[in-house]
Order: sequence, then C-alpha cells, then structure tokens
Amino acid sequence: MSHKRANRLVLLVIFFCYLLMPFSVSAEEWDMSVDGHAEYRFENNQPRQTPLIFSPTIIGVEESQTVLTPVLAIQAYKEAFSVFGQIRGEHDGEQKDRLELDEFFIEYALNSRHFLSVGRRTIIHGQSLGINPADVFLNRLDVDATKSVNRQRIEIQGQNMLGWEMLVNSQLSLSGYWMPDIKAVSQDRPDRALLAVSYVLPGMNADTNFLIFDDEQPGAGGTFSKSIGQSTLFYVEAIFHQGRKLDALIPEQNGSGSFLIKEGDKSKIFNRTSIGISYIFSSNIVTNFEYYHDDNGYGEREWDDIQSLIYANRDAATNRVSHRNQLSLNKQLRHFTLRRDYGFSRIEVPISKQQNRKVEIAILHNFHDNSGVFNTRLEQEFSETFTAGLYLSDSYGGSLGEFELRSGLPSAHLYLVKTF
Amino acid sequence: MMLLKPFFSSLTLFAVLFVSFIFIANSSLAMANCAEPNLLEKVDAIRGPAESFQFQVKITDPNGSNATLSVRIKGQAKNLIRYIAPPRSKGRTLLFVNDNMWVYIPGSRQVLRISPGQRILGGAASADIARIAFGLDYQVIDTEALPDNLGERRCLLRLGRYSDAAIYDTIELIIAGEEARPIEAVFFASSGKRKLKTAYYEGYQSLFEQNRPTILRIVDHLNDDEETIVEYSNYQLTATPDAWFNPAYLKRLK
Repeated sequence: MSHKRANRLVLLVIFFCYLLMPFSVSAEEWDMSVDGHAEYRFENNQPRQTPLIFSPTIIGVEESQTVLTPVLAIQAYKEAFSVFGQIRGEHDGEQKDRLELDEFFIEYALNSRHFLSVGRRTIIHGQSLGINPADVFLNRLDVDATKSVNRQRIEIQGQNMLGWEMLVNSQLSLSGYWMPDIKAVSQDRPDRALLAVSYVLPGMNADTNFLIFDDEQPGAGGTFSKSIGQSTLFYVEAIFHQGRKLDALIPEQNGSGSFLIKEGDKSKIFNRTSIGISYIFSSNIVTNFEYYHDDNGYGEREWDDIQSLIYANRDAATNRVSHRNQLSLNKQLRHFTLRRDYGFSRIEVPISKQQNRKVEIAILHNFHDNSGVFNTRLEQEFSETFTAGLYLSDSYGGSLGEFELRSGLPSAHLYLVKTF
Repeated sequence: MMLLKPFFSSLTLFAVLFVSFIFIANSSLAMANCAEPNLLEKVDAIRGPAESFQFQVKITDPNGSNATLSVRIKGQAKNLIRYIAPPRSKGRTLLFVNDNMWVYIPGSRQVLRISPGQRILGGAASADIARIAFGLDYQVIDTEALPDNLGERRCLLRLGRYSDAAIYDTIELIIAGEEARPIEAVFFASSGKRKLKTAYYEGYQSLFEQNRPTILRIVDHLNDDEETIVEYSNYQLTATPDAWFNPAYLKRLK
C-alpha cells in the first residue's frame, strides 16, 4: 500500500474516532500504554543462480546489509473506546526507508460482550506453526520467515476492515469482518468477508472454530485443537474453497520453452488441511510436527511440465525469448508452496538452566521431491530488555527441487533486539 | 534402701508405660485427625481466600531474573495470568478454564491453546501459579500422621492425579495445624518415583482473617536443586466479569 493511501486511511480512522468520541473526553483521560522493540540486524545473504533464477539480482536481495527495524505499538482506552496501533519502520544501509502502518483501529464496546471495530487490524484463526490454512486472508509470502515464530505474526501488515465480535458466554464467541473493495482502503484486494464461530468444547479440553469466508476463492472450514494430558497438543485445520489458487502452465508443443497460462479451475472444491502435534518435555523442550496437504498444488504431471519449461529456458542469460519465459515462470511460481504434501517440524531447546538461551530448528519439507528449507536460530536474553540472536537458513534438495529452485538463498543474520 | 529398690523399679516401669500410653494415644489421635475427609478442601481454602479475587506475583529465578504477574481467580477453575514485567513479556496472558489453557502473545492477535506443563520462569510452571486449588486436579490417595511440631499436628497427604490438567503424577503434601496449613509439597513425575521439585509454603501472614502463605519457594531437583522464589502480594477481593475468561477476550485485557 502506498504511503498516500496509508495516510488517507489514518486520517479516515482518526476522523471516525472523533465522530464517535464524546466532546468532553480530553486526551489526558485516556489510559494509554506504549510498547515496542527495535531490532538491529546484520544480514549476510548469498543469493545464487538457480535453474529458475538466472540472475540473483532479480530477486532484489542485498548480499550484505545492516537493517534497523523499530516497532511501536500503542494502546489507549477510554470508557467504551479502545484504540490500537502499530507502526513498523525499516532503515537499511542503502537508505531505503520504509514505514508500515501494521495496525490502527478503534474498537467500541457496546457492553462487556459486544464489540464493533473499524480500521486496520490483523485477525488470525488456527494453531499451526508451519502453514496455517485457517488464516484465510494471509498471503504467506508477506510473512518474514527470518523472524522468530512469535515475531512473524507481529511484524505484518493488517487489513482494513469493519469488525463485529460477540462473546456469548465464556465458551462461545461469534465474529464477523468485512474488508470492502473501496478504492481508498481495499489494499488492492477484492471485497472480502469472514464469519466465525468459536467454541470451547466443554469437558473435552478442546477448541473448535467454524469459518465461512468470501474471497477470490470463497469457502468454509474449521479448526480443532485438543490438549492431551499435561504435555501433548493435537490440532487440525481444514479449509475447503471454490476455485484453484494456482494457474496451470501448459508447455507449447514446439519445445520453445513458451507456455500457456490456464487459469485454475473455478468450479471445483479444493482442500487445504494441516494436522499437527506438539509435545513439551519436562525440561521445557518444545517439539512440533505438522503435515500439510494442499489440493491447489501441482501434481506430478504438471510439475514435470514445469520442470521441462525451466530446463527449456535454461539459457535465459543469453536468449531473449528464454529470458522472457523465465521471468513469466518466476511470476507464476511465486507462491509459498507449489506442491501438495509437506511436513513441518520444529524443536526449541533451552540450553541454559535459566532458560534464557535457546536453540530453535525448523524444517519445511516437500514430500514429493524431498527438497526443503531449514532455519536455525540461537537466541540469548542478556537482560530483561536485550536479546541477541543468530539466524541461519538454507535450502536442500536437487537443483530442480521446489525449494532449491525458488529460494536459493543461504543467509545468516546476527541481530540485537531491545524491548522498551 | 534395698526395700525401696523394687518400689523404684515398679515406679520406673509405671512411668515408662504411662508415657508410652500417652504417646500412643496422642499418635492415635493425630492419625485420626489426618484421616479427616476435608483436609484438601481446607488446604485449598487457605490458598484461595474467596470465590473471586486477584493478587500479584513476583517470580525470581535462580539467575536473579524477575517476572511480575497479575493473577485473577474466579471460582476454583477460572484463572487469568497477565505479565506486567519484564518488558519482553509484558501483556502476555495465560488463561485457565477447568483443564483448558491458552496463551495470548501481544501483537500476534492469536490466542493459542497450550499444554499445562508450559513453564513461566525458572522452576515455576504456569499451573503452579494459577492452579490455586489442589482439589481440582488431585485426590487424596492416603494420609499419614507425622510427629507433632510445637504441639501442632502434622499430616502427610499423598495426592494422585485426578484431571488431565494435573501436571504431576503424585504429590506428597505436608500440612500443619487444625486449619491444615500447607508447609511443603514434593512433586513427582509420572513414574511416581522421580522427584521433580519441592515447594515450601512460607511467609505466613494474616490475610482476610486467616494465616496464608505469601512466599512459595520452589526447589527444582532436575536442575541441581536451584531455587525459584514466588512472592504473593496485593491480594484484593474483586469480581472479574465472566466474559474475561473467554479466550476471545484476552486481546482486550488492559
């Protein structure tokens, strides 16, 4: 979203806020809290040529850079009104400054159980850590996978919406959100809406959510999570939507490397499901294992076609037609996952008695071609406000494997986070 | 003197028998008290002064790191824990309703179900702080009278896991006095033999017309017997609205 649009949205929300606020309210009567953190990071990335990316510069990643990322969150309360805001900046050595308005919304409590909201906010459903299909409006490519699991969902831009929530009792809640396709606030997305029913199953130690949503691919789904005993958690998320998210790529018969783009089938129902289990050991080691299936992904035959296209355009550096084809392939394959079956595993191990130093290893693995990406993170809390960390990431698999094709991005980050 | 010797021997024998009788009778009496059916309820009543209340907890781990939490209790089964400090954790909230537990991490806008065994800081598990009532998760398997201390009865209660939320398999709880003040609790792993930690209930103060512990000293046997200190303060009787115990409310807590 452009800064102009962001500014317009902020003005709109502030204007709405003033319309609703009683004139007698003065700023000093608000109960306000300001929190935030700032990260100073040194990145060393090694973007490399792959059969899909003939020139590393094409993906726009700097080899080495230092980045400062301040995040400021504000909450203010006054009687029935609450205001939430989060601004995130980014400043790197190349002086390419960025300012994102992640959240800014006002919530009005009709009473202790009914809430109305307007503005930009993030809504999340589901429990999966690897791939979260119940997060129906999230474009996974917007998530910065180099951040820790918690920060990935904090440092992300929300969506402009009108919201309604009703807490029926301590077990049941209903919610509805509308993200209108109005030029000033649509964030270049179509009209979207979501209705959700959340229910804590009494006596089963389980939660369930039912979702109905309207989007480019409208659908419905649900989530279920259940704790078993003192250490185990089981969770599943399943979404069914109408219309395929990925387009089919059909090679032209002449072997030139050119291809036709056939829009995904709009009539069929497609399923995305994640099943996971988490176990916490008495030593506080936490493990997660998840399986993810996506009907949208390319099947074997389609993937063979894609690989043949990639191979046919391998001389993109010298051939103009191949160059154009490769750029088009790149664009078409810009999705978080391209195939149907994945495994995700994560282990977090405290390596100090005081639990202030830990190692996290996470792997996303493609079961079809045995390619994958792994991230390792070592984090040390030095004081109540300072944390330092080292992050290493790389992919594995054959040169035409999904993750080797797309990422080709071994990277190392050294960072220091100050919380205030 | 020779005539008196049998007399003294008889007297000594009598004295020994009398003292033994008193001791046995006393022990029998203590044993009877320890078999009292509502001992665990008494213990829970000491740890929880009212139906609905709140307090603050300061946890200091063996490294000297601190966490300050605000805790709200409603009934025996609904608990809310909110981090006040350190800044890194501020706003993080844990919700317990019966056997269900969730965590909310500020900024993430996501409420996640968690396992009861999740730790807060040092040797303190979330359930150690929030599950005020033993009777929710454990039942008395047997009791044993211990020697009196300063004229007060002391009982050992062996507690066994009762609910899924119980994070220990067995607990050996030592209580003292007629009011059944908790003194010491030893927590065992699922094998029933592996000692995980020992908690000492200390700093008894008069709160709401009864002596209640204000310090919980936890010795972590899995980590070289390192100590975590949990200090309770600012007890207030407050009625927390029911809506606050809905997971969807967590992001709204101030």
